[in-house]
Formats: sequence, structure tokens, C-alpha cells
Amino acid sequence: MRLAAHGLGVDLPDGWEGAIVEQPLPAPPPGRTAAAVAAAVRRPTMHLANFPLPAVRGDFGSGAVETMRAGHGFVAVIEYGPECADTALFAATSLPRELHVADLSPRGLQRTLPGQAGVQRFATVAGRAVCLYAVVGAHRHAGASLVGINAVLRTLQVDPA
Amino acid sequence: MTATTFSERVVARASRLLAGHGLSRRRFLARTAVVGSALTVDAWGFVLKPQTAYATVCGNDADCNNGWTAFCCTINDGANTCPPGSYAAGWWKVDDSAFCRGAARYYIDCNRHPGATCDCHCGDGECDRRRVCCNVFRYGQCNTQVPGVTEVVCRVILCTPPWEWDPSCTTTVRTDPATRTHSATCLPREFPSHIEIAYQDLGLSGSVLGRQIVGEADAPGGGRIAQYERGAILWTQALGAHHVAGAVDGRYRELGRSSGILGYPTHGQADVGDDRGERVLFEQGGIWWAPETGAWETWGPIHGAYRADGGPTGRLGYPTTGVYVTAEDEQRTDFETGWSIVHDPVTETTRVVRTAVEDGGTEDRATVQRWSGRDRIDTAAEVSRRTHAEGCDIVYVARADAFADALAGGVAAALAGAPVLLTWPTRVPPATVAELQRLDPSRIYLLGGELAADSGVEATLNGYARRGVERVFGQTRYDTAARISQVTFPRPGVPVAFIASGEGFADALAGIPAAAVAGGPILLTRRDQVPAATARELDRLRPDRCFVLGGTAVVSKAVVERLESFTSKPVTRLAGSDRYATAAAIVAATVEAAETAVIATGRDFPDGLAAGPAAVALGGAVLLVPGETIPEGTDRELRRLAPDRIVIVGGTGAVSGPVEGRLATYRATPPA
Repeated sequence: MRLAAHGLGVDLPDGWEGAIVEQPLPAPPPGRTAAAVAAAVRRPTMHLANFPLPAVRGDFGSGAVETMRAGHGFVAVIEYGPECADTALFAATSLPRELHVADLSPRGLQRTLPGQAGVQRFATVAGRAVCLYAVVGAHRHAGASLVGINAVLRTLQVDPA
Repeated sequence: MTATTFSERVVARASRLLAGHGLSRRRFLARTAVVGSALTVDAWGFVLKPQTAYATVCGNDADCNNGWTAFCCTINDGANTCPPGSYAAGWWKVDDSAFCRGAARYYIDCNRHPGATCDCHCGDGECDRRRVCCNVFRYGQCNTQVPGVTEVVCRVILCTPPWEWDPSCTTTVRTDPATRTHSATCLPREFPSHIEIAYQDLGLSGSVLGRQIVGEADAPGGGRIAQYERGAILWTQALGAHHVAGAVDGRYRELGRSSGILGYPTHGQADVGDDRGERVLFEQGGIWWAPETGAWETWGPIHGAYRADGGPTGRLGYPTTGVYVTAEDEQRTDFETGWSIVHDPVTETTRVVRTAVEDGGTEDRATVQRWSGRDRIDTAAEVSRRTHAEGCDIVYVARADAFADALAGGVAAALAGAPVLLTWPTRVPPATVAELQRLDPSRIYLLGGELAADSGVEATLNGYARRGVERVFGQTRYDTAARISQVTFPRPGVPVAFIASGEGFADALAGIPAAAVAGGPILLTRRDQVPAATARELDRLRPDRCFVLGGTAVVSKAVVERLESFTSKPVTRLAGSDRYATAAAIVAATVEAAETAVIATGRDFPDGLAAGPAAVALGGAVLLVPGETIPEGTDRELRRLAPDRIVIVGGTGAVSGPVEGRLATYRATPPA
């Protein structure tokens, strides 16, 4: 099944589900009008997983990764503003099409959870600044999770800005 | 026997259990305190539910094994700022946060700087034993010029949008509702006061205010105030919470803070924007601080007049007094530039006057004028209008964006009594066209070859010169200077020749009027070698004397020795420690007295180029300033010459308003 929106697209392997969403605008802080934070910008976020994704999730998967088990995989593709494109952090020109066990680290996580491992990559693809974040449910069985994750990455498409 | 409560018995037993696990005294005391707190917070929950005392008090996500990163105030001595060796690397938010009184709460990750080191460990703060420098992760919206992903050292908390807190952060929103309840004892509790939020967003103990010394309390008029080591935060419902710090707060205290004449702050303390001072605006006025002047207030009509005049970046500069009452019962504030604002409460008039005159001094101050236009081209045209009101027969035109061909032409223009106007290489600007129409010259000298001004420019200029355009140029800048010299001084035996670097413009600028008055050319040289064209021209001219402009950094000793072969007298070097001191040295050596001093920026050449011929026409000298200050050498020459008039050539971007004000304080006649 093809999942596509906001210029992001991917073919979902069997057993995988996903969503592409944009964040709502923030509420104004105390003493400020809504105009004071009107500068805040929404950007699309893609979440893909081979386990049920909860309705409430953080952009980097909090709320979801806590439910992962061995063999599970989670992928987030997150877009940033055009001002980030081609900066040093986003200097790479492509996202990986394949991840290896050696790419994953138990410390490469937004939130360290027992047994899990993750990896993060930033790049400017087709003029768009994006970040790939992948998590496996069990580092010791990462190979099983990477089969699905790499199938996702091979079909991941970022349309030009 | 003393009766004990159930809670006390539980604490005692828990303490015995904990003490039996080999804990240090410090850890033991800390843990028994937490157990005590747990019983206070939720005694039955603590006893009956399968969770630790720590979780009962601090929440489920505050311990190290929960995997989250600690707050910066926990590990950074209470400072809600990125610790040394880390930088803001990204942010997320949680909407509708009780910690921000219902608004969004922002979390900024401080990541290890790639050049720094740190070890992964658990924090030991009260209600924050989270991980420090462990998770290799980056949100990615801040400082994207820093490559790579490093460990998150700690997290800063704000209720202010991150892009306002750190301009390197972008506005792309990221969220993480799982962090909604995360907090630490060093952070404000839920539903904090406006003052607590303001203090948090300034950085808590790491802020300009330092640590809190007096708790939040009521203030006059329904406001609130909290006091810190180095200032205060004041709040009212209408104005919000704003901080006042350091010397500004010292003055505010002397004036009675919110009970005094100024009332409550309407804006927090902020830079003025001149890389020098700070200011706080209040309901009824402001306090202005600079290192040299201290902190002084303006209020009422004087405050209005001061702000209308541009405040500290206008011609008045910073105040050197508060508002005081004179012997004539007028209100007055004095400023660093020698001006005062005076308000007469009877006539309700406000005026700007020279401080010395108001003090009974004499009127022997120099008159300051500014000749400027919208840009360098317009400024050159304005100088021409001021010095050639009746028109003129000859006009020199030079390229506006490169000095190489123009410098030597300044002397020629000055000797011919002609102005210098500017052009772009491929088109003649409208301001120059308009001035040429007004001047109606018979001849235009165009300085430079086709690269400096193309044939289209020459054709356009031809339409405004009755006897046509004559190009003066050579193959190089040195050739061009020599060619201009040949045209201007066709006969050999000139009294003097000035030699300046062809690789910079500054030294030649001040030399233009000196050379013109002395009746000799400016020729150009390389640092270590006299160019062939310059040598040929000197050999032809055989000047009686030679002056080298600038130090050995721009004209070497070897060049000076070579120049001595072209003149019978020793070559004299006129130089200072920088371009401003060199300009002053040229004036000191060549100008005995001057009715007018012409001031131009030393940072670029066009204004000074136009100023040179103007200075000759006005019987004056050219001195240079960097824009924001008056250098020592320039100051010394202005005091020595004591000119009646000082003409600034260029806008406030070139020579600032405060410098203009200070120039007005120079005496017009030498002191007795």
C-alpha cells in the first residue's frame, strides 16, 4: 500500500502501518497574543511502524516506542524549514536506503529504553531539510526489525520542494 | 514514652531499611527526606501502591532508568542555561502546560559541543536524577551550522518561544506530549506566577539577575515584585513582568522603583543596539546606561524629546545626569555630547541647547554641519552643491565603487577648483546627472579606463560637457596617478610630491588637500617597490621635497630610500599608528591653521574623496573618524586647529549622531 502526503511517500510492507501528519500551531505564552507566536510553522512528520501506533505520539515516537517488543521497527521522517536546507547539519544529500546493525546504538535514542537501539540521520533531499529516525525494539534481534525498516527506506520518496 | 504517628513509624522503618543498604550518610539523608516527602504528598498512595517514594514525589519519569535527559538547572548550579561545552541544538513543545500558566512550554536540548567532552552519568538533583550527556540525539532546529549529532547534556525550560530566546533556533514546531509532566525542584512549580516565569526564561540563577534574595511580594498599585542579587522583576496585570538589573536597577531603586517618578517597567532591560549601552523603558520614562556615563533617567517632556531625537543613538548620546531643576526652575538633563534638553514648565516648551552655553559659557563652539545624501553618490553631489553653488567650469568624475583611479584625481580637482562626482562603471546615476545639469561644466575629466567607466558612461557624460569629456587613465592605478600628475603638473620642478600606498585609500584621502595646497601631486606606490610609472613621473617632476604617507606596513623603508633619488632633500614620512592617526599626522605637518575641518569616515573612500577638494575650497583640512568615536589624533588636531566650522561629509551610517554631537563641543578658538 502506498502512503503519500505533503510531498512524502512510501510503500508500506505487509504488517506495517503509517501516518503523515502536520503539527498544530502552538498556543501563545502568557502575556502574549497569538500573533506573537504566529511565526511558528507546521511541517509534516511521517511515522511508520510494524506494531500498532497509538493515537498520541511525539514527533520522534514517544508514546509508541514504549510499546515496542523484539522484532518491532519504528521509522520517523521529519521535515524542517527551508532555512535549514544545506546547512552543516543537513549537509548530506540523501537519506540511507539501507541500515545495518552497526548503524544502531542503544544511546542513539531520544529516550533510552531497555534493549532498544536507534539511529538518526539529517540530510537535504530534493531541496528539503529532513531527518530520519529509526528505532528497533530489541538491539539483539535488530536484524529482524531491519528487514522491514530497510524495505520502507528503499521506497521512501521525498518530492522536490 | 512519646507517641508516634503511623507516618513517623513508616519513615523510621524505611530509614532503617535504607540505612541497611550501605548508603552514605548524604545519600541516606536525602532518601529519608524523599520518603518523608512521599508521605506528606500521598501517604496512602505511597504505602499501598507498588511505586517508589521517589516516584510518588517526583513523578514516574524523573529517575535515571526512565531514559530521559536531566534539566540544566539540576546540573548547572541552578542556571536554566546551556552549561559550558554545550549549545542549543533543538527544541520541542507541549501545549496547554500548567508550568506556563496554560500556554505552550518549550524544551531546549543542550547538546555537547563537538569540541567538548563529557561522561554519561545520572543526575543527583532533587526530583531530577535523569541522564546527563547520554542520549545521542538531536531535535535539530537550532544552530544548524554545527554539524553532527552528539549527546544531549541537559534540557532548558522556557515559556518564551525558542526563536525569541535564541535567534539561531528556527520556528519549525516539534512536539512531545510524553514530557508534559517532566520537572525538577529547581524549576518553577505548576501554575507559577508571571514573575517566576520571567525569571525562569531569563535563566534562573544563571540570569543577569543572579539568585533570588527576597521572595515575591505585593508592590504599590497592585503590582508584584521579587528581588534578586543583581536586580528585580516587577509585574502588573496591564504591563506584564519585566526585569531591571545592575546599575539600571541601582538608579531605579534610588528613584523609588515602582513608587517613584518612573512607575513600572513596560519592557525588560535590553541592549540599545549600539554595542554599547542598555535601557529600560517605564510607564513615565526610561533609564539609560553606558559604561562611560552610568545609569541616568529621563522622564516627562524631556523623555519625549530625547526619544524623538533618536535617544542614545541620536546626536545627544547617553545622559550624564538625571532630570534636575535649574536655578531658573526649569527641568534639565545633560548629555555626554555637550548638549542638554531643557523643559520650561511655565511655557511648556522643551529645547535642546549646548550645555556650556546654558551654564554661562561663551559661544565659541564650532558650528557643525552635515553634508550628506541618501548614498555616496548623492553625498558627492551634495558636497558639490555646497561648494559650487554658482556652477563650475570643470568637473571630475570617478568610479563610485573602487578607489584605484580616483585618489590622484582628488588633487587635480582641488587645484582646478572642481568638484568630484561619482559614477557606476556602466551607467551614470541620476544624482550625478542632475548635478552635472546644474553645474553646466565645459569639460569633464573622467578618471579611469573602460573598466572603471565604459563607453556608455563616457557618451552620457559627453551630453553634459560643452567641450566634451577627457579620459585620464593608464594601464594600472600607478599609471593613472602618473598620468593625472602629467596633466595637472605639465612643467617639472614642483615644490612637493606626496607618495601614498596604491593598495589602500585611507592615507591618500587626508593627503589630497595637503598636496593640493602645497602644489604637488599624489603618486602611488607598492609597499616594497616604486612602480615604473611612478618612478618616471618623479624623475620628470624632480620635486623639491617628497612626503610618504603611511607607516612601514604600507610603504617600506626600501621604497623611501628609492624615493630619495628623486629629490635633493630627505624624504619625510607622515604616519601614525593607524589611518586616523596618519591623517592627523598629515594635517599636523601641513596645516598651520584652518577655518574649517572636514570630517569623513576612514572606513570607505567616496566621502573622503569628495571631502578633499571641498576642504581646499573651504580653506580646511580633512580628518578621519571610524564612525562611532573620535580617535585621539583627530581629537588632538581639532583642539589645535579650533576651526570655526566642522563639516561632516556623509550620513549617520558613516559618521554617527553621537560623534556629530561631540564635534559640536570643540572650541572654535584656541583656549587662552
